[in-house]
Order: sequence, then structure tokens, then C-alpha cells
Amino acid sequence: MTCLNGSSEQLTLPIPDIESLAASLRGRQLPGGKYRIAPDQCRAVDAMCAGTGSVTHPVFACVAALRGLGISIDELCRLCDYELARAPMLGECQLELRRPLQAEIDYTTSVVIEDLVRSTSRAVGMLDRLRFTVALRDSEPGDAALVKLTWLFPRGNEA
Amino acid sequence: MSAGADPLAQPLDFAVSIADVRRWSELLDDDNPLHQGEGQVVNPGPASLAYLISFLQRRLPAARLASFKCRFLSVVHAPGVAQAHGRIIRTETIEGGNRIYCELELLAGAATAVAAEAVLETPCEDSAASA
Repeated sequence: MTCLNGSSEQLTLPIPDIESLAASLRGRQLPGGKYRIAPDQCRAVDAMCAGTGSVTHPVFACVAALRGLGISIDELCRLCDYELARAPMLGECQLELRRPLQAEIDYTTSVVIEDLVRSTSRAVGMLDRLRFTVALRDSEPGDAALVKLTWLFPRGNEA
Repeated sequence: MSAGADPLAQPLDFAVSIADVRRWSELLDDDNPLHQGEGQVVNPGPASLAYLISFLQRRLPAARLASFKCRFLSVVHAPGVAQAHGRIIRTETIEGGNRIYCELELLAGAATAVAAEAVLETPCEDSAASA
């Protein structure tokens, strides 16, 4: 089997039964952690995406969510019996920003897996979608931001 | 906000470089092979999301982003160019300001790479249209 990114790396994980895997993941909390936005990161991001520099760029909610999972993207893939070498993709992202993000403060992240669902189409083949929610909290009451992410794990026509 | 030309009507171009893809990958701690290599690489999704938010910041500088929802429909390659488009679909008055609802697209060539909806809040009547 070849990777979706075109390499010929041998991949070994079998296709999981989606019902049992989803049942084991639904509602599961990932370790979470902490994320602190550094001022030099702010400047770098503004330079890369023509940010105005007037506020901490809201994309840091997404960055903090992904960096604050408490596990790596590779480990996230393996939770879903998927291999990073097969090139997973971000499918959807939803940000709710309750207040402006700030650099140089600690955000605590808590992560809950919402669901893992499988679809099959002629165009894409088999596709698993992992949905999870990351809450960012600072020292103020309530969530500073909520980030809902959907990762796509294309499995091609493996069945 | 006041009636008149839509401040989102003018698109904004973003240059997508391989060096920036590497920086985004470092920032995201993302070792996905799609973003690696010496030839054409795939821009990480959060970078494309950032382009659309920067587009809003530049076109509606007095507004604060309250929520943002996007779907990644196709990839943006580096080196390349992505172009942000948008339109305001409605506004409503809220306590102390206005809420602005927008639809956005990030184009890579002829393809829609990202489709998004955003809600912004602005504290005063006319400040949102000053881009």
C-alpha cells in the first residue's frame, strides 16, 4: 500500500471496525496541557499571514488547541488506528472567541473527543472523521475560547 | 455599520512560500509529510484559516472576531498564492454595537480551498467600514 502523499512507505495498521473504535473514543478526554503564546510567535505569524499586529492573532486559538492536546498529531492518528505517514488532513475548524487572546499568559487546555464517523464515497473512498473540542482557559472565569476540530483520515479504497 | 460598499468586496492576496510552510509546521509541531520535502508542499490548514482572519482584520479593522467556522475543501500549495474573498451577508444591532455576519472563501487558483463563515462584533456604528 502506498501513502496518500505519494511515498511508498509500507503501512501496516489494518482498517479498524468503526463502531467499536468510535465507542472507545467517544467522550474520551485527552491529556490536554498548557500553551503560552510567545511575543516572537505573534510577530512571526503576523508576518506570515499579513496580520495587523494590533491584537494577538485569533489563529492562535487553533494553534493552542493543536499544541495543547497533550499528545502529538502522530499519537492522535494512532488513537484512530491511522498512520501519520498517510497524511491526515484538517477538515473543519470552528472557533468561538469569548475574549481576545493574549500573549505571555498560560492557557490551560482540556480536550474531549466528540465522535469518530466513517463515510464512503466513490470520489474519496473510505474516510474517517474525528471530531474533538478543545477548551482554552485563562485565569478569568469561563472558557476564553472553544475550538472544535475535525481531522480527516482518508483510507482510500481499502475495503 | 453604515450602508454602502461592502468592505470585503476587494480580495486580498497571500503569498504562500515553502519557508512559511516550514515555520507553520514548527509552530504547530506538525510532522505531517504533506508539509515536508523540497518540492511543492501543502500549506497547513491553520495557515489558510489565518489568511481569512487577516483578511477580516484588514477590511474590518475596528471589529473583533467572535466566531469563525471553516471547511477545508482542497489544499493550498506552496509555493503559490491564495486569495481571500468575502462578503457581508447581514448586520444586526446588539447592545453597544453591531454584529456582522460574513461569508468567506480562500481561493487557490480556480479552486475554493476554504469556505468559511465569520461573526464579528464592532463597538460603534461606522468604525467597521473604514478599511
